[in-house]
Amino acid sequence: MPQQSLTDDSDGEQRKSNIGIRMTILYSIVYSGFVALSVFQPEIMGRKALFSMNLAISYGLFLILFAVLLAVIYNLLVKEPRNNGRKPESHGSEQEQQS
Amino acid sequence: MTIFIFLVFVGAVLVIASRTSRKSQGVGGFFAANNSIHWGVNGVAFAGGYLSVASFLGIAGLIAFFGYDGFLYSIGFLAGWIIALFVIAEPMKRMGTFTFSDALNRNFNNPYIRIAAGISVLVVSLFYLVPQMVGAGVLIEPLLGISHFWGVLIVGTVVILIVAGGGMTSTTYVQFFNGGLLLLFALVLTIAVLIRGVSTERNMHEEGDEDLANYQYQEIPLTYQDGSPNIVSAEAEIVGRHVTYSPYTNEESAVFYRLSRLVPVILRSEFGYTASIKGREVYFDRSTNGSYWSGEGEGDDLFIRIEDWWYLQEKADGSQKLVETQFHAVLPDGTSLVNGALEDQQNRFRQVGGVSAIPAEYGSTTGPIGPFRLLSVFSSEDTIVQQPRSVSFTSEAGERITIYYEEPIAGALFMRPGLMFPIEPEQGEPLATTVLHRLNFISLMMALFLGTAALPHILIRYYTVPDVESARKSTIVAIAGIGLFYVLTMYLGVGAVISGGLNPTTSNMSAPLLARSFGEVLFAIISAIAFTTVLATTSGLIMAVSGAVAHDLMDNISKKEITDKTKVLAGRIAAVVVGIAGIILGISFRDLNVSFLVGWAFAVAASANLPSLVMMLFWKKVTAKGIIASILTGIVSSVSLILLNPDMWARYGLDPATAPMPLNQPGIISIPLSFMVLVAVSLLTGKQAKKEPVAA
Repeated sequence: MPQQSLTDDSDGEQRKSNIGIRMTILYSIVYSGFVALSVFQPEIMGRKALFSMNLAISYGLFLILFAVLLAVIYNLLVKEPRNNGRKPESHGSEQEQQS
Repeated sequence: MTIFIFLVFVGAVLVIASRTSRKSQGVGGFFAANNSIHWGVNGVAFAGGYLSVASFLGIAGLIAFFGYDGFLYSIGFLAGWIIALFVIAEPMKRMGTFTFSDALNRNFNNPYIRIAAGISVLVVSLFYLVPQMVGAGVLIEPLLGISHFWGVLIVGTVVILIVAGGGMTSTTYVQFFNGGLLLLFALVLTIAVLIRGVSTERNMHEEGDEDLANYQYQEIPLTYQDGSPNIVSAEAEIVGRHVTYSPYTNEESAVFYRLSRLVPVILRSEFGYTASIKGREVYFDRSTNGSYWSGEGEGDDLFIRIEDWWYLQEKADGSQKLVETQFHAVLPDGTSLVNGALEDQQNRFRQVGGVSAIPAEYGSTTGPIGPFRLLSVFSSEDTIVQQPRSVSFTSEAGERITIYYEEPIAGALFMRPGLMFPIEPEQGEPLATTVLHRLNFISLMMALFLGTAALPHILIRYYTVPDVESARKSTIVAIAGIGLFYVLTMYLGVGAVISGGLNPTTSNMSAPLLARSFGEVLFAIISAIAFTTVLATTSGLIMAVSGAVAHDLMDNISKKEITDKTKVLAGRIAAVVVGIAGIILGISFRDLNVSFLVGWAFAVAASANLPSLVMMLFWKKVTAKGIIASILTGIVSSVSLILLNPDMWARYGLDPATAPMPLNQPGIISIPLSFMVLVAVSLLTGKQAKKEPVAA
């Protein structure tokens, strides 16, 4: 394994980390919205939303689905790091795994 | 049958563990499975190790008893994986070999970081280990008829065998096996629930007569005569009353009447009668219990007098009625009565819960139903759910009484936040209380979100895969699997309500009892999976402690270079010692609520580990002292806030209102505190800041 420092010097890692942070922030906002609604406006959570389920269930299921979705998108985005000719670190198994 | 399936599952676990243990030779094999685990296997193993009994039985039970609020745990437990994936997974793998202190210590090479991180692993794991052990004992009692003591002992022994014998490789495959089983059978149960649909008939399976399931709780109209309550019944009279009051307005919130009534009996022998009490045939033995019971009446019309509690309900037209409840009483002389008669094999609590009304267009049952439609029917205004409740008090005569009753509640209310976490202010509630309730809720949701990625038994999984890419992919598999499982918990909980088969005394049994409503085989399988779940989670925790002791604590405290061979031996010994400690704690804390401690373990993990992990990755000015200070502050502040909170105060037998720490959930204080200490100490000690990494 190549010696790397914490804040990684490879562009690929930097880019990955940027995408990761953005997605974490995005998810945190959606999650906080859920917590805030539950705490301050619980009656709104009782209103009908998707598939005539109430908002609480719809939002909750969405949060779970959204996490899975972000995870898959993240995987697609970081699959081919554009790294300006720099070699990504040894991903021995990159090709064989088509998810 | 149950025992057989149980033995098959535990046998399978042991076979898997022993067949894979050969691969755990050497230090890399024992602590990190030689980095040889495929990402797919690792992903499912994540799920199998992460989904503890608290997730499986705990959440399903909370949803069955408190509706939507139980599902909040599902959401929070899953959301935490976002941080694990986007922030922790890849750097963890890139920078570490065996434990997460490798990553923390990478740029500092400071033995005290390792010691602090090792201590934090010990504390968090023990917090998490105790409820798992207790859970195993609590489960095994009703499921297999073995005592709590033996349950904990069996779990502890099997886990010690797995970890000490097979190290990380065996732990991984045991977790993989369990993760697969959990997902598969949660799916099977969910499909069965969808095929059954929502129905107002109870589908529970109670041991005993066939028609037990169709028993209708009796109701008696209540009228008032000259202001005093009067019941329209020849055989019963009111002999007592218990009222619970709203704590803020002092208005009556629930009223119970104690009735003394005559129950028809059949003379069985010279000294014995049988009577039907709440659908169960109960035998009364006059020769041994003569002080309690004797038959009344003549010829064929024999009666026995019992006393029981009834719940006051208002009918739609404003008139009042009394509804039969179940109750448990412990008399001053220690005698234990169930429903007014001696507790024994025939006289047990009946299962409760159920749906008493669904939207009119469906009649009495929806029949097979789609997953979204089921939840929409369930959360409808027109659906009435029978929510199980209980109230405990000591009567004037010194009896300790617990009444189990059902409260009809609209599905629309059941399926939105508020039944367990009192976030909506009650009438007359002071503002300070409302604020506290809300802060508690926010604090819990924050600890769940931030805690997952800091749990030691999750972090060690990153070292079992060959590379960073696999670390990422296995986390994605974990998110998909765990996400699916948590969606299914909703159906397990709701399905348990529909079946009407809830155990009034414990919510933890809801999922197995739901399975039993579909037959004994499924019941046996679900019970056995509950047991392998304990094994999988516990072995992960003990593995984490074993690694921390051998890799972080031992050589840094003794300050001597330790050979790999000694390290593995130390790891094995540590696993045995921690396993035995877990057994002892599990036996001595048998009355502890399972989900209680798990939430706190997340808070401690989030406070102790997450700030240093995150800041180390994203803030260049972090110093070794800052990390050490943050870890220690996180542990000390979160643990002491827990020890000083109202829940613990009640456990010490003190008045919860006088607890020095008003919040039950420490996360909202201890997590930011740990972050602030890290920043402050780093800035103060930052003169010799580490070299800026050179961007080429």
